[in-house]
Amino acid sequence: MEEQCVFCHIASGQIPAKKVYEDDKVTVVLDINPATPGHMLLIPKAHVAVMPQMDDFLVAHVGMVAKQLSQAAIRALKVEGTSIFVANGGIAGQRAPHFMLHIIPRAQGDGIALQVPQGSVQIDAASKAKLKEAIAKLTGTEVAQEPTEEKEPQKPKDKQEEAPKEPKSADKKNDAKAAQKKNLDAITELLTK
Amino acid sequence: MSECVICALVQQKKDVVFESEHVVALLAPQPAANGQMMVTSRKHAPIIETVPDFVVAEMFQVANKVGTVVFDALGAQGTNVLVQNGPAAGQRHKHVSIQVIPRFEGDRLQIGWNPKPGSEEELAKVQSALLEETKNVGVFEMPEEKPIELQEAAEVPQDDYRSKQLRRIP
Repeated sequence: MEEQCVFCHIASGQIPAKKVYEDDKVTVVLDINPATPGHMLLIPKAHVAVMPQMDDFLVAHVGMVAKQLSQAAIRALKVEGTSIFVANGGIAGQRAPHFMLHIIPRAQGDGIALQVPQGSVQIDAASKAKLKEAIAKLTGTEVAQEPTEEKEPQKPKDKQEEAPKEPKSADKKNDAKAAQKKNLDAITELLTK
Repeated sequence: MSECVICALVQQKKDVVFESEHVVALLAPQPAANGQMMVTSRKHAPIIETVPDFVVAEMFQVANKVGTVVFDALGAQGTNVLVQNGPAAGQRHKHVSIQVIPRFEGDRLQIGWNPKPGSEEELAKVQSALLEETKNVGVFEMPEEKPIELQEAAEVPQDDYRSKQLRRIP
């Protein structure tokens, strides 16, 4: 908990708020300046500034609670849908120095601009390759392959055996951990300065 | 399933950046931002409520990871994570997805809302309605345990000395 952080105090209950759900990891309160009635803020109890700082367990928990709260909102408030929204970094619209996930009940024509326009921003091949490689490294998986137009001719068997050996999965896991750590430091620096 | 744009993309493996048993991440068709991605369930599901909890969990984990690399790989300065759940929320395809939108200085994207102070009365009313339903939140659906598949035991020849040893054990 950060002494200076208002949302740490809200999550711990030290600052009173309109609580709608709580467990050992998160507190969910109503936004007092809602986009629509029933606008909820899901706040982790541990101080995290942005989503990339959260570990897999917390992210999984936040995602599952968000799903169930969305369901609760649809049932309780008879709305037609929900928006689940996160902003990481001031440029993305983050206002507070504590991570929060918004769950916003939606109705047709409510005028909430929570959508991404259809665009045509084409990613260049080099960036795409870089992105895929970084994701593979971070998740400890193979680089995703593009579909091939023509079927590749079957390689003779003996050649396949000569192919360089893939790193062992244990090595990949360690590499992934190192990549995660490095990435996180850079992001924390960028987003929380 | 064949009519679903997302299912088709998943099947073609077009612009896929990550895939696992239940979750696929791909570059968004018609992106508004460089490197915009969508994280979706491999199995067709219209809205997030129809996706099992443990798959939702993995979708968020993957969304977090693919959103983490855009800072270094593409020079993004922020990200938005957005689920448009239902047509009223602007959902475009009838297949659930988490949008990951890298943000850049001066990108002109307007994703947000105008907050208006809620009246005490309205907040209290909404709170009590929600509390009725959030009682059930927090119990999660986990994957069914797969049955352990044992290879069929090889017949032990009757005259094998090892099987004789075995039979001797009371």
